[in-house]
Amino acid sequence: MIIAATARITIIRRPVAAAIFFAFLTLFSPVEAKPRAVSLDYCADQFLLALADRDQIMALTTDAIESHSFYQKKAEGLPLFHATSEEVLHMRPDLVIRTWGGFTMLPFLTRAHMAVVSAEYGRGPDILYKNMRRIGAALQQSGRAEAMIQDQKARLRALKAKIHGSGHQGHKLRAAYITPGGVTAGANTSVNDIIKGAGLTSLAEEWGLTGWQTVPLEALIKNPPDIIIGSFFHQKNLHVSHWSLSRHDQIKKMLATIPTIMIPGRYLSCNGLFSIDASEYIHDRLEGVTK
Amino acid sequence: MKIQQNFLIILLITALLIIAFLSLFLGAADIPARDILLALTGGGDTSTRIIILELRLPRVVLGIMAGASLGLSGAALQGLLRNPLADPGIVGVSATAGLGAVMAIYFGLSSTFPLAIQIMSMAGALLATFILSVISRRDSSVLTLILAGIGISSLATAALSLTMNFAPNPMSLQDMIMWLLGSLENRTRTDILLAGPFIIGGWVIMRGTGQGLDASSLGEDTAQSLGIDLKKLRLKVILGSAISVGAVVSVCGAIGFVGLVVPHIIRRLIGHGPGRLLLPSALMGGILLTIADLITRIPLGHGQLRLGVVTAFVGAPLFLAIIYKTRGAMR
Repeated sequence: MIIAATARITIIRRPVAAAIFFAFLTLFSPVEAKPRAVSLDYCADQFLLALADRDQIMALTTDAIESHSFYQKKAEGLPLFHATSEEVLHMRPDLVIRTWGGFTMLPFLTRAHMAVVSAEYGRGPDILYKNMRRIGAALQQSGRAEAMIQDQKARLRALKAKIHGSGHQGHKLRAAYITPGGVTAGANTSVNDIIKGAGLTSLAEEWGLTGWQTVPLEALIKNPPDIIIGSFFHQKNLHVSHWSLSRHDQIKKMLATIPTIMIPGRYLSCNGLFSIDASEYIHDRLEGVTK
Repeated sequence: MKIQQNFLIILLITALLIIAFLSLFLGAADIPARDILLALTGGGDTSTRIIILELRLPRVVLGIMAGASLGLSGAALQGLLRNPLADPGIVGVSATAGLGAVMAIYFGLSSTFPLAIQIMSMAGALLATFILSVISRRDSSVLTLILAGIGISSLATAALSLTMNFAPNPMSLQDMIMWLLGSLENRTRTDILLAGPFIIGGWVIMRGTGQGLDASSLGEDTAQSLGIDLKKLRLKVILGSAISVGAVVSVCGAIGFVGLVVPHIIRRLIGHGPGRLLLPSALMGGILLTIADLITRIPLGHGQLRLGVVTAFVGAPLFLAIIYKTRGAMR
C-alpha cells in the first residue's frame, strides 16, 4: 500500500506535489494572522501581488493598476497609495516590501520598528528565487513562494525541452530587440536572457553589445535580423523618441517586412521577474510569425 | 499704499508662525489634531511622533530657512547690483551646487554614503564662492562680479549637461532631474544640522549691510563720500548669499523665483530702500516657500509634485503681474 502511494506521488509532477505538501502543512498548522504588508514601488507590488493573500495587502503603489503592471487585474480593487513616508508610518503595516523604492524613508521605518524586506538587486533565476523565498518567508507564505519557484523551474525545463524537440534550436533565428526609445538589450540584461530563453540568437550579443545600448541604424540595415522583438510601442505614456532610430523610415519598413513579435511591456519589467512568462510568450508566437 | 516697515515685519512674523504651525497639520497621513498636539509635546505613539517631529517639523524649519535665505539674498543682490532682475542664481552658486549633487548621483556615491549628495553639493557651492571671493578681492567692479557669476554658472551648467548626457541609466537621469527640481520631502534633522550652520553663517555675513545698500543706491561716489566701504559691502553680500544659498541648494535642490519675486512684492508694500527690504524679504521668502511646500503635499497625478515647479508656477505669473503694475516706474 505504501509502495503504491509512493509510486502515485512520483507520477504527480514535482511542483504539484510541493503545492499539495505545503497546503497540507498549512491546513494543520495553528491558525495565526499573517502579516499585513505595503509595497513601496512597482516591482515590490508585483512580489506582494504574487505571494500575499488579498487580505494581507494593506496598500500597493498607484503603479500597480497601470498597464505595465503584470498583475494589473489582480491589483484592481485593492487599496492604493503614493508610498510616502508619512503614509507608511501612519498605516503601521506589519511588513514593508521594497525593491528600489523608499530608500530615503528607511531610517524612519527603522526608528518606528517596522519590518522591512528589501529585494536583492540583480538578474537571473538564483537572485529571483532568493527574493521570492525571502519575501515569501516574511509574508508567512513560504509555501506559495516555493510552489511558484518549482512551477517556474518546471516551465523553464519544459520550454527548453520544447525548443530542442521542435527544431527551433536548429533555426537559431537572429533576433533584434527594439524599443520606442531606440534602445536594445545586450549581454547581461534580463531581456537578452529572455530572448535566448525563447530559443533565439541575440543579435545585440553578436554585435558585442553589453547592457542597455542604442543600436546604430547603419549596422541594423547592413545586418538585418531574422526576427524583431519589440516592446513598449503601444504604451500610452511612452512614445517613439525623437532622437532614436525607431522613428526612422527604415525601422518602420523593417517592422513591416521582418517577422515581428510585440511583447507587452509588463512581461519585461522588474529585472526578469517574469522572464519565463516572457520567453514562453515569444516562443508561443514564433511559429505564427515565421511561417 | 505703503505701510510701516515695523508693522509689516510684525505682520509677516505672525503670518509665518501661523502658516508654519498649520503646515504641521497637513500631510499625506490623516492624523487627528489632538494626536499632532500630543506628538509635539513628546507624547503619543512612535509613528505619529516620527511623522510630526522627524518628517513635518524638519520640513517646515528647512522650508523657512531656505525661503528666508533666498528672499534675503535676492533683496541684497538686487540692491547691490542695482538690478531688479538679479537673483541668487546670478552668482553661480545654484548651478555649482546642482553640479555637485548630480555628480554624486552619477558616481553612485549616495548609495554608499547617504549624505554624499548634500556634501558634494555644498562643496560645489563653496567652490563657486571661493572663485567669486578671489575675483571680488582683486576687482571690486559690480560688472566683473555679475560676469564672473554668469561665467561660473554657464560652466557649471555645461558640466551638468555633460554628466546628464552620460548618465549610466535612465533611473540615474531621472534622479538627477528630480533632484534639480527641488523638494523638501524626507528632509531630516541631519539635513538641518548639515546646512543650518552655513545658512545662518551666510545671514550673519550679510548682517549690517542694509545701510551700505541704501547708500549705494544713491550711486557709488555718493556712497563712498558717506564713508561706505563698497569693496567690503560687495564681498559681504556676495559671500553671504553664496554660502547661504549654496547650503539651501545642497539640501533642497534648486528652487527658482523666490529670490527674484519676493523683493518685488515687498518693494510694493514698503518702498524702494534696499536696506529696508532685507528682513521683510527674508520673512516673505519663508512664507512663500512654506506655502509652496504645502502645495507639493497635495497628491496630484503620478509621483511627487516638486518644489521648484510650484515656485516657478507661483512666482512667474506673480512676477509678470508686478512688472505690469510697476512698468511706469521702471521707465
